[in-house]
Amino acid sequence: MKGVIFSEMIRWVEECLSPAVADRMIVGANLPNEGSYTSVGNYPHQEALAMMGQLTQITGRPVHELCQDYGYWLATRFVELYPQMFGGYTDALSLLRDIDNKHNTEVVKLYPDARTPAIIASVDGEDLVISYASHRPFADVAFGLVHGYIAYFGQSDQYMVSRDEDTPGPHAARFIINRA
Amino acid sequence: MAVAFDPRIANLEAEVELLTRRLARAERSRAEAEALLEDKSRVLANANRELRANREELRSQLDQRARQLLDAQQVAGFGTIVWDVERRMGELSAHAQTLLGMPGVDAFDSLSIFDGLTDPEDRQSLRDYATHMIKRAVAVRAHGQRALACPKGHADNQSCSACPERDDCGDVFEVRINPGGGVRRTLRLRAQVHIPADLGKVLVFLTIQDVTAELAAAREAEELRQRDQQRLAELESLTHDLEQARLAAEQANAAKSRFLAMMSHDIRTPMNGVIGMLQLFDDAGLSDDQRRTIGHVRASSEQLRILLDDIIDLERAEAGKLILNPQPLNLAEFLRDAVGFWQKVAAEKGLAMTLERGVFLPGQKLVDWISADRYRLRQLVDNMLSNAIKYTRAGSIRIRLGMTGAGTARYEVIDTGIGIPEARRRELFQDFGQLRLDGVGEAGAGLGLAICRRIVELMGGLIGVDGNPDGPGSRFWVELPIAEVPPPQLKDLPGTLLLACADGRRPRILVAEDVETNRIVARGLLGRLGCDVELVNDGAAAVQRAASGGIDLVLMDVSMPVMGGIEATRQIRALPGPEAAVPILALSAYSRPEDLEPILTVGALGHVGKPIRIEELHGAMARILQPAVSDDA
Repeated sequence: MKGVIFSEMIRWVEECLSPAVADRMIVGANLPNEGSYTSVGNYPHQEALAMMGQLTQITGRPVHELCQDYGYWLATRFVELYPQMFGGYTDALSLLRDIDNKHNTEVVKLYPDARTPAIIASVDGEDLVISYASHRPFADVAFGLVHGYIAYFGQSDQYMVSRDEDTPGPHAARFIINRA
Repeated sequence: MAVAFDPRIANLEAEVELLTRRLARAERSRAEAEALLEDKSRVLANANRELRANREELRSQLDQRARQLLDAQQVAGFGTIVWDVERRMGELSAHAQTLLGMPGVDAFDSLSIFDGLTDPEDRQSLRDYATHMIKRAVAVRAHGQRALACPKGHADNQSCSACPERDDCGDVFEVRINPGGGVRRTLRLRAQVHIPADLGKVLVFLTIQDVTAELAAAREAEELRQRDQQRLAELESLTHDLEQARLAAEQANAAKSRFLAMMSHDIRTPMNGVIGMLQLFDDAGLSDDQRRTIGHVRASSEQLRILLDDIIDLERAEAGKLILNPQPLNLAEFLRDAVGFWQKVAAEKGLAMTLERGVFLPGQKLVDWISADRYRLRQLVDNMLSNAIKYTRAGSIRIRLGMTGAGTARYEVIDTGIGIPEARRRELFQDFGQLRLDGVGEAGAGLGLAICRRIVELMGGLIGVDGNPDGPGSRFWVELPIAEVPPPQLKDLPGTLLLACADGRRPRILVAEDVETNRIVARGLLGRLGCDVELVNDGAAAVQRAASGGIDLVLMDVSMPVMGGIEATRQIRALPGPEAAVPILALSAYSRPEDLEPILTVGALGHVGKPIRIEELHGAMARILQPAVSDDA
C-alpha cells in the first residue's frame, strides 16, 4: 500500500493525539522499519493494521471509529497534497462521482502494479451511491474520507451520508449520499 | 555526585528520547525517499531515452514515406501543392516544380508567382479558383466545422476515406500554362480542403496533373469518331441506293419474265389449235411433196409449242413455282412415245435417230417402272432431241441410255452437228442465254437447255455437254437418280359402290388422260363403279368424242399434250347443242385453289385428285349423276 497512508497516519496521530502516543504506537507495533515511512514508498498494509491495533489499545476506542476519524482527517490532507486532482470542483457530489475514474487512474499511472480498491459511483434517483470493495479492510477509512470531502466543501449540512447495513465491512461498503 | 530523581528531568529525558526517535525516523524516511527518488530518476531517464529513440524512428519513417510519396507522384505524373491557410504559405513538391517549369522553387507565399506562367486567358479564372478554395478553407477554420471542407459534408477523415467518390473528390480546374522553352501544357488541378486530424491546421491540398496528352488524344479520338460516323452514314446511304437499284432491277426482271410468260400463254392457245388441227389432219390422200410439207409444218409447230412451254416454265422456275409431281411411269412405254415422235421428225429432215439401251454397265437392265414427273421428263427429252435435230444438218443422232450404278441413270444425245466450242459450253444452260453459231442459220432463244437444266436440278441430277467422241458434233448428257417402283396396283375395294344415272342407266364415262397407267387405273375403277368407259389420249380427241354425244360425264385430265384439259373443257362448253352441257370433272394432281381455278372457270364442275381414290371418285360422280342422292360419309 502506498506510503502516504502510513506517513499520514503517523502525522495524524502526532497532530490530533500527541507525539508521545504516536511514539508509543510505533514502538508497540514493532515495525520492521521502525516507522520511517516515505510517502512515495510501498509497504505492506498489515503494518498499518498493526499500528491501528496499538492505537486502539492505547486510546481504548474501537478500530472502526479510529479509522473513520483518520479518513475524515485524510480528506483534507489529500486535497493539500494533490491539488491537481481536486482543482475545478466546487461540489462534493461532483467530486465523489468522479472518484473512481480519477483516483484509481492517477494511482495506476504512476504505479501500474498498484492494487487499488474498486470504487464505483452510480446515481440512483436523487442519491449517489458509492460502493467500495478492497482486499484491504479500510472501508471505514473510506467512510471517513467521504465525510471529509463533504466537510471540505462546507457542504456537511447539505448532504447526508448513510452506510448500507447489508454490506458488511471492513472490506466492502456501500455509501448512500443524498441531499439533506 | 548523585543526581536526585527529579520528575521534570525524567519527563525531559523521556521527551528527548521521543524526539530523538522521531528525528531518527524522519532521517531514515528521508534517506529512503532519496533512494526511491534515485530509482525513479533512473527509470525516468530510461523512459526519456526510449521516447527519444522512438521519436527519431518515427521521424525517419515519416521522411521515408514522404520520399516515397514524392517518387510515386513522379511516377504517376502528379505534383502536389500544399497551401497553409494560416501561415499563408505554399509548398511545391518536386514533381510539381517540374510540371510548372519552376525547378528549385520549393515554396511560395503569393499566387502572383504563377502569373507569368499562366495562359493570359486563364489567369483570371485561376485566381477565381484559388480565391474560392481559400475562402472555403477559411470558412472551415472559422467555424471549426470539418464538414464544410467536404463536398459530401463528411464530418471526419474516416468518412472521407470510406467514401466511394474519394478518388474524384475535390474541385477540378484545368489551366493552360507556358512553362517555357516553347512548351504549352494543360494542367488539371484538383483541390481539397484538408484538416489533418491532430494538427488543427487547415490546408488546401492541390494535385496537379499534366493532361496535355490526354486532352489531345481525346480530341483526336473525337475527330476519328466523327469521321467514322460520317463514313458510316455515307456507306449506309450507298447501301440504300444499291438496295434500291437491286430491287428495281429485280422488279424489272420479274416484270419482264411475267410479261413474257403472259404473252406465251396467249400465244399458246392458238398454237394448240394449230397443233391440234395438224394432229387430226389425215395425210392419207396427200402427195409426197404435200406430206413432206405437212411434216415440216408439224415439226415447226412442235418446236414453237416447246418454245412457248419453256418460256412459261422458265418464268415459273425463276419464281420458284416449278414443282415436280412424280407418279409411277413405265420407262419403256415412255421412251416409245417420246423417241418415236422425234424419230419421225428426224426422218423428215433426213437424219437417222437411234436408241441404244443398257449400254453403260453391261448386264445392268433398265428398270421397268420408275417414279417421275412424266410431263417434265418429256419436256427434258423433247428439248434435247429437238435441239439435236435443229443443229444437225446431216448425219445421225444417237440416243444412249443406261444405268451407271445403282440408282443412277445416264442419258446421252450424240449428234453429228457443228459442235459447240468449249468456251461457249457453259453459256448454253443459262436462262435466256443465246447461242449464235455461224453457218447454222437457225438462231433460237436458247431456252431449251435452260429449262432442261432447271428440270434436271429439280430432279436432283446433273446435265452437261462435251464433244462427240467419235467425230464432229456434240454429246449432251444427263444423269438422274432413279428409283425403281413396283407397278401400280388397283386397290382392293370394300364392297361395291355402284353408280347409275338418274334414269337408272349404266353411266358412260369419257376419260381424257394421256398417261397409259392412269387410263388403266381409271378404267378399272370406273368398271368397279359400274360404268362404261371410253378412253382418249388428249384434249382434242375428247372434244371430238364429246361432240358426238352419248357421254354422261367426262373425266378430264388437266395436263395433256396437244390440247390440255382446260382448253378442251372450254371447247366442249362452246359446242352447239346439248353436248356442251356434259358434266366435266377435272383430274389433277394439283389441288390448290389457284391451280384448279382455271379449269373450273371454263366450266368444269369439280375436281378429282390424282392418284385417284375410289371413294373420292365415287363421291364426286354420284353428286353429279344423281343429285338427289347424298353420298355416304
